[in-house]
Amino acid sequence: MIEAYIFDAIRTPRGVGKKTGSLHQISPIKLASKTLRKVKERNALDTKLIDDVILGCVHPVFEQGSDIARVAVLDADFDQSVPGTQVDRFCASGLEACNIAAAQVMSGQSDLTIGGGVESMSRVPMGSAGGAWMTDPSVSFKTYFVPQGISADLLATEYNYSRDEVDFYAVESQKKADQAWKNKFFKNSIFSIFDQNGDLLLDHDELIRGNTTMQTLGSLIPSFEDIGKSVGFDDIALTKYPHNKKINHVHHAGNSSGIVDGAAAVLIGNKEAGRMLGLKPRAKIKAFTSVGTEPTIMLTGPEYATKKVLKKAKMSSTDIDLFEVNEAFAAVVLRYMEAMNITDDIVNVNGGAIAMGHPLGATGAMLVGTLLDELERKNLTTGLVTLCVGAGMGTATIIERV
Amino acid sequence: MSLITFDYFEKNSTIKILGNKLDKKSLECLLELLKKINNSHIKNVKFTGNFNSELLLETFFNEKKNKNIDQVLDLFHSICKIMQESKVFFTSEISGLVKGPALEIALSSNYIKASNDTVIEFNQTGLGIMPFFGTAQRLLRLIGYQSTLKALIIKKKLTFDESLKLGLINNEKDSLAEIKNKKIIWDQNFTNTFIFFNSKALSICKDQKNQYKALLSTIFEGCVCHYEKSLEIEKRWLKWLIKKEIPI
Repeated sequence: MIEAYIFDAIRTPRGVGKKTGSLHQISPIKLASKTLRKVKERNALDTKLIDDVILGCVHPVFEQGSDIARVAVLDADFDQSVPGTQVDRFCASGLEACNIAAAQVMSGQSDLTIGGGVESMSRVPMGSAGGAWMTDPSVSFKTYFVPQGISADLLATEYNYSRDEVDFYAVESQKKADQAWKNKFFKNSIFSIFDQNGDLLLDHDELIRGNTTMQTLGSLIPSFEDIGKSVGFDDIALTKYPHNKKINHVHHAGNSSGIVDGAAAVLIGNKEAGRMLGLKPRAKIKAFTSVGTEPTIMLTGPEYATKKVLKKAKMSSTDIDLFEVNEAFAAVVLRYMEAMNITDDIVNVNGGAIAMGHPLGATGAMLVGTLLDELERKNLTTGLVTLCVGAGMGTATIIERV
Repeated sequence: MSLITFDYFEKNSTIKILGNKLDKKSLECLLELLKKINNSHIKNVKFTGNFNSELLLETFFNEKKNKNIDQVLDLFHSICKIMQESKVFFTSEISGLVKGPALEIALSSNYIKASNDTVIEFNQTGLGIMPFFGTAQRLLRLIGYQSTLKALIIKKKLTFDESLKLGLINNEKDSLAEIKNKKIIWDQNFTNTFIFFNSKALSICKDQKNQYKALLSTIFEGCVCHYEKSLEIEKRWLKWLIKKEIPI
């Protein structure tokens, strides 16, 4: 099999995903095309050599609709011969895009590709894409659909994570992200967003609150208790998990991933493409996989995806130097660490989506860059990225520095 | 408690509903009557009498249930179809408790004139049978899918004031024309509404999961498509439910 190498990984800063956020005034197509343009500039790419651009986007409707990847290619002034396609694996879309890009290279069908993702959650809100899973009664009845927040609280209930434990994890995420920013650990991947006049819009992840404490989080009201009880979601979750007496609602805005806008891109290719373009491979994509898991609890996928990808790579968890586990909710990472028997000194060492936010379609690709930067900074070799995914899935990718 | 008859008074073009239980024979008589009216020069017909009714579903099936189920469903739908496609303007004068097949006849009319003691009851779900004359499709086009879901899944009743406010009764416009032209778009509100009602229904349905599933599905699937097709959707789900649930 041909090796797929990562030559570069970049991302936008993450803007607060509200109308007050700094990236709200930038359309998703511009977020995507600015990111592609940056890849081109940073690597002095002859874009004619790019075989495909694959972008994750979870709500590919309205401004983000109609194959945003191809439109971004055109808007970024890539050669018109470069195609683009949009993929959706819910929260792992960005990582899935990288995996597909890598698969094209590994199979020999492409030499140079870009995987990445985009999501402007302030402009195309969550739920905009609709879909049968949650709305079609014949499907939602069958799958015992509950929103992800209820799943997160069910996960905490099932594995006995208290409010203090999830809050403590969130405080640590904020501290780590704050420290990482102060120490400029993200500087290699982040590029600033300017408007068409060259005026700066955003040059940092604007959601981080480094001064977050257990006390500040303690004052927050659980986000999903009300809908859990009034709409009946708790009853549905308990029907599926009847050994629990009630759902312990522990998640709130402070220990769940933030709603943000952002985009990311990872330049992937074979050795020959790198040689032709004078690009130095930074890492190779060793293995990747996705799995399906029970959809009501929904968020246990990272454990199973990790076990599967480790098996594929003939590795064990002890072979992994650093893990990036998307912080969709604090309980997701707590459960992952418990299941994999690993500690937080090698997991999300620079914080995660609780502190910096989770631009749905882009996060997976962002985490690839974050992981690679940190492996390089610490001179470590192997890292694993994984995300929990809507409807009960998990995606994982192992990278290895070269 | 007696079988329903539809007595036609030619002098004032009135069909009086007597009795409270509708069987197959009664419905066939109504269909014949409607066909006759439809072929005459009558311009206006009024339904009056007792609208507090119940469907004797078991009378519609013989031992070969699966063989005649389509005929029965066609019979149900032909009532609303003939009323809809007719040049005759149908009015239903309702009062008191209004439920069951007579309610569906009222809802098939061009105009519902209600007295202020009227209470509309959607009890079909409770009995394990969803609306069967196309009522769900007409309702959601008349009063909106949110109000329809609320009425059918949660409240199960509409008072005179509520019905008036929704424009369901004493509304001068020709409701059938409105129904046929209504377009519903799948937007975020649509998504959120169904997330809410699916969850509500699934959490309360207990041993009536199939009934709620069929009822919600007929509304969900029928909402965004053409009215005529939505009636087919309703018929399809009713067939599914009858095959699953009705012990005949």
